[in-house]
Amino acid sequence: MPGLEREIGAGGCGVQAVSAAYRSGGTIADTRRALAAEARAGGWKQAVFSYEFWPIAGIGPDFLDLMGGMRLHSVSAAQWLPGARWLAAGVCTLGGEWERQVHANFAAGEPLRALLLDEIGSQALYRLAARVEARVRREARQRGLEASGVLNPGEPGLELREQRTVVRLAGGSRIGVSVSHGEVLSPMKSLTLIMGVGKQMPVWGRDANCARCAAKLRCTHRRVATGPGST
Amino acid sequence: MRMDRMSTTDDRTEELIRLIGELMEREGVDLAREMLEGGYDPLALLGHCREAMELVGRRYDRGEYFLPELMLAGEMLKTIGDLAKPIILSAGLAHDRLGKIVIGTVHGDLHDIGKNIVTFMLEVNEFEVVDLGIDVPAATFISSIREHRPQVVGLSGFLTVAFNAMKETVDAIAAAGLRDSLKIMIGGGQVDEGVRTFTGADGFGLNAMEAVSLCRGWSGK
Repeated sequence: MPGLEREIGAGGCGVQAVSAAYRSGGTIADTRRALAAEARAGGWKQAVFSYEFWPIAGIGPDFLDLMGGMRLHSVSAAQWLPGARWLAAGVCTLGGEWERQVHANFAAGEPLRALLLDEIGSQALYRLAARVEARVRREARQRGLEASGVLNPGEPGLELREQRTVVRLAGGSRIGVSVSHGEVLSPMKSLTLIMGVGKQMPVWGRDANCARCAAKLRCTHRRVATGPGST
Repeated sequence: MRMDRMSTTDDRTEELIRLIGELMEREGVDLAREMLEGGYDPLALLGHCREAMELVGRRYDRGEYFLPELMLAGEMLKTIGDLAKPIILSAGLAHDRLGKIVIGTVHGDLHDIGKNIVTFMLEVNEFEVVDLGIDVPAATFISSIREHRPQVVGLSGFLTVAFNAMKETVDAIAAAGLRDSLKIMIGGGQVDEGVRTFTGADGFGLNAMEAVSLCRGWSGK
């Protein structure tokens, strides 16, 4: 069953603080506030998401076969979702205007504005992805089932080259999301995910995904969050 | 009540470094303007700004500052540089830049935020940068190297799939007989020493300040 939602131009960025810059006063905080107001006024956020549930026909050692003949290659999905009856694939995007504004600010010699706008957009995108996740969980409950934790293409066990398959499964074309060569999503402020749906699905949080990440030892965000030398 | 006091050069120098280091944009730029208008040596002033920038860089490395703070300090440095430039030119004090760098996001990758940040930070640290943009084929890097004769080439790529394109680009530069005349640095979210070895680059950076440090080290300045 496909899910599709649009909230074009709705709301503000409303993102949580991601760096000390937002907690401090002065130029950076002022610039961020001004950008958030501009984004609201300009309707730069054109948030849309789509997801679909696909019946699982079979699970191999490193793939999931779906009804209709589609196959998703993923060691992690095959290992962690053995009891899944459905695969939920989701895609969300802020639309192309946000990206254009970021580039326009760089081009205008306003790198701080560009950077802050990019960060605000990333946070808004993560919040949008959380909404997709919540919608999948709600629909799973309505079916008397549970939804697993989230897997994203590019993480260990779900290679980035599967991005194209996930976008197709999630109905990306309906909301204008495509995959360019190099497996980059377009618009760039877009994100895809998959979740298993079935009985007694394993649930994990972002911390688990972070712990599995190949870049965890050198990840700046992790180092800042947990202190120097932490692994 | 207004209190006037004649500042010594050292007082003002330390205050300028502090203001930039504390990211007090208006006050820092105002003091720099005041110093320049008072006849302060513009090259010496820019040297103090770079000291302040190094202070900001250390705070960034320690996790006390984040990218926005780094960019704001860079913008302050750029603004002060723009104030100083006419004085430097009119006095015939202009000096060469630290070096020339050709930079671009490699073929297959469309991410440019990181590259743009590195470009900006290199420019405010007195490097001349030729930015080739995103999704840049190896052939474009080679033609640009021939045209601009840079000391450093920067290959950017956010995705792991960019590693092959980086290696192809490094190999193509070598095949064109240009490898020995320059250093190659790579950067992006996922690079490490293993990726550097795989691609054949000379160095890698995890952030803009590391890129600046690499280029400074290679320029010997």
